[in-house]
Amino acid sequence: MPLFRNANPYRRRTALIPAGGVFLIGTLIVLAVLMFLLQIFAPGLLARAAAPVWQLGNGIASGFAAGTSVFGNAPELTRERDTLAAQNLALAEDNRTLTAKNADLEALIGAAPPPEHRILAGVLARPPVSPYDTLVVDAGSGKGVVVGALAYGPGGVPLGTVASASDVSAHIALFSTGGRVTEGWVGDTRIPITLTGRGGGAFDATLPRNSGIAVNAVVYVPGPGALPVGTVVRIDSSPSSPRDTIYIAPYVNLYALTWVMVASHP
Amino acid sequence: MRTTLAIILALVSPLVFPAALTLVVVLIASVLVPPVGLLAGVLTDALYWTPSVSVPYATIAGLCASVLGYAVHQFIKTRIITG
Repeated sequence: MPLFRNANPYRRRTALIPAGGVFLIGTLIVLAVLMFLLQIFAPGLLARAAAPVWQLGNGIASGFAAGTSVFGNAPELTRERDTLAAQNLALAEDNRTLTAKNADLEALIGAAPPPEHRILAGVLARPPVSPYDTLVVDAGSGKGVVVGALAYGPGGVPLGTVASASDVSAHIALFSTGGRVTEGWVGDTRIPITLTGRGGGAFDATLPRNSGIAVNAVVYVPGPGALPVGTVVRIDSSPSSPRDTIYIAPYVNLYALTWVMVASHP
Repeated sequence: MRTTLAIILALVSPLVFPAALTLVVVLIASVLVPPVGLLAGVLTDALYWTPSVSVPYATIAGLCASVLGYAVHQFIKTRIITG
């Protein structure tokens, strides 16, 4: 009886080469290289192939949310609905007042220029599925999307700019992408600040101490005019530092975005 | 069967799961099939990477997952770690 079970040296396992699965390993490596080359020479093809899976995932997530709402606390949901209905009425009244004021001002100083043409795009993938704080949308250069164009969320809130566009899809780099720097303003006095993205829609910035900015101050970014993007939610100040750090929460919930509007030019 | 399931799950998770959960799934799949980590990383960058991101972090993370998974895979096979 042999001392070693695998006496045949050609069947002996080594530490470097696995006993089996070489074909599988080679296939997977070749697939990885092919995928890399595909993205270089045919960008957007993978996104087009992945679009049905993204849409299925979005549908399952929204269906799950609707299904679990059945287990909600009924009195609490009723209270929340009544509160939201009251807020809606108040906002509708504010909107009517502002529309009337706008009409008066247009009559006084002339009509505003027509709004820029925007392209409606469905969001296929968003954070946290998208790891780089980007949005993948189903409108590309075929629909007129160009690199550098602004993208807007609900209510005309600017979200970011188009970073790349293929024929049928585009990637939107959000202003809140980690480390991305955007110039903007804060407060009624429009104090200039430099916003630094922190991911997930959040920003922070620094201001001189005693600048007069308080929590709930509105933060703006440039676009056509000054566009509000969020509000100050926290201010950190230290006696040893001449500057305060402000933390900004966005108006738009990125994790629930389903549609965006993309400007037709940068 | 287990290998096929690991490959399918690792390739579908960048499309469906949050990035952190995808990383966990890919790490586990890489223990079973080491190269699937690199493949999932390249797929993630092919789907989501833009020029505004300077480094393809997903590919690098996938490569690290493959290397780590390969090491654990070999340790299990040679009974250094009992699986």
